[in-house]
Amino acid sequence: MALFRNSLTYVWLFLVGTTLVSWWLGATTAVADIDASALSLNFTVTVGIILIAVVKTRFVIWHFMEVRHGPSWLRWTCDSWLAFLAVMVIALYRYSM
Amino acid sequence: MLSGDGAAIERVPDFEMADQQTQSRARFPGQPAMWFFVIGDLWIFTCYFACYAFDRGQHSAGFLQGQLTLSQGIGVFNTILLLTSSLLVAFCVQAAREGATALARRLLLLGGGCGIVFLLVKASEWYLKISTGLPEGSDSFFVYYFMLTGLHFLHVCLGLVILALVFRELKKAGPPHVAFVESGAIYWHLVDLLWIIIFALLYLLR
Amino acid sequence: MTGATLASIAGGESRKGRLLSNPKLDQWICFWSIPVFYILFGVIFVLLGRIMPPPTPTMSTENIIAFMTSPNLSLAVVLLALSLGMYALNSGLMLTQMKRMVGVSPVLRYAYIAVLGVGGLPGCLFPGYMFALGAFRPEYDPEILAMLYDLGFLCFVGSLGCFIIQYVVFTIAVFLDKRGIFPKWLGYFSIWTLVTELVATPVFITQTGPYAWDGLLSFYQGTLIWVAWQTSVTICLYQAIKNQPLEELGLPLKENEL
Repeated sequence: MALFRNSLTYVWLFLVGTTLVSWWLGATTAVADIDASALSLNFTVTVGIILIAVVKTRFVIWHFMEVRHGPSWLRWTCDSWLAFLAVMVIALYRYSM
Repeated sequence: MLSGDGAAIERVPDFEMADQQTQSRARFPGQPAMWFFVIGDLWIFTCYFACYAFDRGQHSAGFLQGQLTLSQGIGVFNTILLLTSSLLVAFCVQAAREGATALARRLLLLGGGCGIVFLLVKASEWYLKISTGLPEGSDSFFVYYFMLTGLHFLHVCLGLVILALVFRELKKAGPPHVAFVESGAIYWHLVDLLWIIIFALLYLLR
Repeated sequence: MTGATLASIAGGESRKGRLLSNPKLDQWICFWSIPVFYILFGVIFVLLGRIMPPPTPTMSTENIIAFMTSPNLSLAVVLLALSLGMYALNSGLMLTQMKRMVGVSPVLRYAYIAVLGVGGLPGCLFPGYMFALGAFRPEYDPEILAMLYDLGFLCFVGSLGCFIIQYVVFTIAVFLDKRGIFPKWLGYFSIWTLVTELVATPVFITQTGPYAWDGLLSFYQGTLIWVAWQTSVTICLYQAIKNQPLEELGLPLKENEL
């Protein structure tokens, strides 16, 4: 069982990399008494972060949970849930702003 | 006698059952009851995420105020910790399939160990947060923060119990019940997955 | 089999004879009390009392008085006082079926019944009595009635600790059971009800939003999942009773005994 040439290791590297990318995207400086209204709410950044999270989740489901090898109903269920989650979170956030 | 990547040729004939399970693995990962649980749990959390997204849109300034007091660095550290533990548990499943139960147990201990570190970091994060006090107007955010991370914390605890049961299964003589090991791993990946989403929603949204 | 001889002596098997000779009759009586109980529950809490879905925690005092002095609520509470004991039949039935589990210590089923006995009081009866005071003694100071309103709902939604333990012991019993009296997915389902009970904890501190006692998460999601769980358990209970072999009933099967 190869550890370092394993496809799962590549998936892990991708996941860690995208975590760092989304951190950079949503970076804020935690200052004690910062004025929140001065920090602009950035809807594009929000959408980006949600989409990155959903992509990461899909990789975990597909490769770690091995749904990739699973029956088509399972793959369809997981994918449609992911799509629903992404659309719902973005839509609700946008609608309530 | 062959598994998917041909590595089984070197395996001891005792593990024929593991090979059969390797082939049947290609059709369905884990046990159906566990998938029932995982999918239902995802939908339950989806309701929480929906409420959070809506409330966040309504009170963006207050939520942002609360979010700013969180340490994104600790959040990233926790995320990477869980991703690593997921990788280790996935390796454990591969090892279990090939019958290498000693290696599988070691990987499981490492993966579970990462989970324990996650819990410790989370607990100290909470303690720091509560002792330094919460900023004005961010109560709504912090109810979500403690509820979401709290529920996740309990899921991690349950995950550790399940991993312990998998460890016990791997300690038994003879070929392990691979579907059971897979199911335990699937639950652990669920825990990882939930954290990915919770981390993005709580720590990073703008 | 038991009453067959007697019935055939009486000249042909009557329907009543068959029914009375059913060795599981006691269990079936208890079982059919469950839907009766829940229909009453629905009438009491939803239709008459309007306790479910709950009104808002931030309701004004006049509206609170109006809610509590409603004659429908007084009728609902009387019905509740008379019928709540019926739930014991459900618990007894669960105990009987849990007793059949193999590899499960008796402590789990005793804990199951004990915790329901403890939880039913703050969860159902006390709120009923608190609301009833407003209905039957309207002369109390509005401030006092407003306090009882708060207390009633906090008890009703917030009596979560006992029910959490109910789900914990049930889940453990289902998973340890080597015989599969209840299916494993029911054990996983019970974990969800456990989680939704935990989600009700913020009701003590938040009065608005999804974590208040009338909130989307603390009340609506929790109640929906609980209704689905109770329905599933009832169906599984039916299967368990039906599939119970007669030898396990422990009844002395005498020839001429009804």
